[in-house]
Amino acid sequence: MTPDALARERAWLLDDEQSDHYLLPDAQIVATTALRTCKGNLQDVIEAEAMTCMYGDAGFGKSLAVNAALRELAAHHTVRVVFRSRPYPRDIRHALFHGLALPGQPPGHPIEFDRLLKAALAERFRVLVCDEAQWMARDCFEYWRHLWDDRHTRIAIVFVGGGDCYRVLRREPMLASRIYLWQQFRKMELEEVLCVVPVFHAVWAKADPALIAYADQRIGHGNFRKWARLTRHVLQGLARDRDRELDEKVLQWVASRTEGGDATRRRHAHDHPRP
Amino acid sequence: MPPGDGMLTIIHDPEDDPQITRDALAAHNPEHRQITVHPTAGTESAIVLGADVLAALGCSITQHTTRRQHLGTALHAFAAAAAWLLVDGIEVVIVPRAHLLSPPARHWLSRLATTAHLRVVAVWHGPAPQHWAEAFRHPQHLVRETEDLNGVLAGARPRPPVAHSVGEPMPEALPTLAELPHSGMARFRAEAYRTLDATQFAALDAHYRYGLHAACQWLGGHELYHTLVRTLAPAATQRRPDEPVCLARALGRGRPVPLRWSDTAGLQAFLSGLAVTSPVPAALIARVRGAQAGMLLHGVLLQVPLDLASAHGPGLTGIRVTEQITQRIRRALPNPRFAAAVAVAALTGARPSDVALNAVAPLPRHSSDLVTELGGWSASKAVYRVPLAAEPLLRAAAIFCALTRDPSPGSLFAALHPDEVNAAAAATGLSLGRPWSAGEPSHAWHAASAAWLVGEPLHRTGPGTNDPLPVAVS
Repeated sequence: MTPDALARERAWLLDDEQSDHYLLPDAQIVATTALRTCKGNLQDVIEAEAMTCMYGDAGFGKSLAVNAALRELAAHHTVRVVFRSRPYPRDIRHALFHGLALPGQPPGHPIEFDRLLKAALAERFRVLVCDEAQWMARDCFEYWRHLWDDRHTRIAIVFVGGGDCYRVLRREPMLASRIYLWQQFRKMELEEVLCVVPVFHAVWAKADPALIAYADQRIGHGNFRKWARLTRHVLQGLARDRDRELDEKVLQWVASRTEGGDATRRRHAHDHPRP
Repeated sequence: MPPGDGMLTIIHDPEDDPQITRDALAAHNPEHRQITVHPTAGTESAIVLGADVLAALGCSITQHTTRRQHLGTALHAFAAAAAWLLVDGIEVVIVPRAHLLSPPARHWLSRLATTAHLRVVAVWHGPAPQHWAEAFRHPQHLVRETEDLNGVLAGARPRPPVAHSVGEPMPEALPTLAELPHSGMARFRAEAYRTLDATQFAALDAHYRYGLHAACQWLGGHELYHTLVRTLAPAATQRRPDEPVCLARALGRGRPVPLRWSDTAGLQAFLSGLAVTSPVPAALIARVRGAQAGMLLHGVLLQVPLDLASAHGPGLTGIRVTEQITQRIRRALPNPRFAAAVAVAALTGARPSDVALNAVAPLPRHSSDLVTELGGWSASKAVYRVPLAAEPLLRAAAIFCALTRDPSPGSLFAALHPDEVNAAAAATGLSLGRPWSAGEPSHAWHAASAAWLVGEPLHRTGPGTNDPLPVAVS
């Protein structure tokens, strides 16, 4: 696949709310503490046209929170790029070219490319979201800085990344001195899980809090991505046996599917039931 | 410490303070002889740094231009950057993110400082190397380290204002003419007066007068003219100023005339100089007719091609090279040699491809007269007065050739292929080089002109002399 074609896949606007939800298109966005904090922080960052970093372990809802907040704060000004492997500055240029919907073919010379991008980024304010920022090498961070430092561009940059992101960005002086604020996403405490999970999906709406607590302790671990996967399995299990209700046995069955080696050992020991 | 001294000033910013980078970027001000080069992120090569310098100077850098204009090597990028920096009089080049440059790129900057006689201010956002001089391979005594960026930048001084010719008609003062008189010098002004309306005549007459006064002034200051006049009979030259004279008497028998005007190069430079500020061909023709009249008042007969309007050369098939045209050429053509070739095509009225096929000498150091085979008679050269706005292009081309050690230093454009110059001209979007038909002389109008001293002067220049053209037209 050419860099240009890859770039088309890596940059998009915030136009698809359902795609934010991992495995669950019909789930609801719930106002967790992290999401509310994220929204307030992004509001400040946008006002300051600054750089920020949202980091935390996988599944804690960083990307979803940032997308949801920006959809409210700057839906028509946000360009999001994400790279699953180590990109080069050239990849960022191409991703922004398509994210900004610039006409024609991407320029061949980096100077010409940068002039074009800077001109586009100077036309009006934009929020550039760089997801999976921990994959970036120094020259890529330098490229973001290059765009942000330009006197005429009007941009805020949101770096979103996994656990390493903080360490990676902190060791780059050019970013460490420019990041306006840092926000760490942590796992939800049980109290918060009990509040937000019934709102998260209809299947949990009437569930016993003790069952939710069990699910969180056994499978969810305060991690929204795990909760999304758990919910998906629950829905599949219930769909197979329509007379069955959500109970502990269903959750055990889900655990056997999601916990890998540990669950296999448990199945041999306890003759795990089918839902 | 004076600017432009080959110094390397290091601004050490170990914390990478964004304000320092912003101050450095904000200091970009070519009008105050200082530019900021923001190196392209993700590259550390000297070639790209050279392109960054050219971009900071306003050149349009694309993959196409760098390839077609042979700027793909560090040497050529260096030569182009140094040439433009020198002719622009840039004294300070600020380079933020210098800590990211490769050692060859840093050495490239060091050479730029010494070659272009400027000061490089390198902003180093990281841990300091052991020796700055070694990191840049710059002479130790020319390296200075400081943390005070604003102090370093405080000495910027504005560029001097561009000089303009005094007394020249404003280009926009010439409205579209219904029909330009076709007659020669003797009847040109009278015919214009009869055929044009008052506004058009006044505008055309302004150019006619410009040519007339220019001729009077040129002859009055020319040593050859005074030498020739002294050869005339003493009785003719020692007449009392109030004694009435007439052309017939001046051309009478027994005079040692005609005497050929031997300073052909000077005459060509003067005539092409009339075209330098001429906005349209009609204005040039009026200027030439005026110059003919002015010269005849001094006893000099100027012969130009009979059908001047259909001739070619400066002011007729060329275009007026203004500051805007120069900027347009420079923007499109970062290689000074291509830029100069297109400028030469513009000011000479030659086809761009012909510029590469004919010898064009570098502009002499203290002169703006370009000597070239373009438009000259066979085996002879023609001289063109170069507009002030085009001079930097030609001087930059000469510097570029010297720095790249061009194998044919006698001719600026010998190394260029005609097709390349055509492509370069097309890139500027300028309409250059009217094609001329078979049988049409290949020499330019001013190169085909000649002059003779045919009699004693009727008009004497100097304090208290009257306007030779006293008829006021309102």
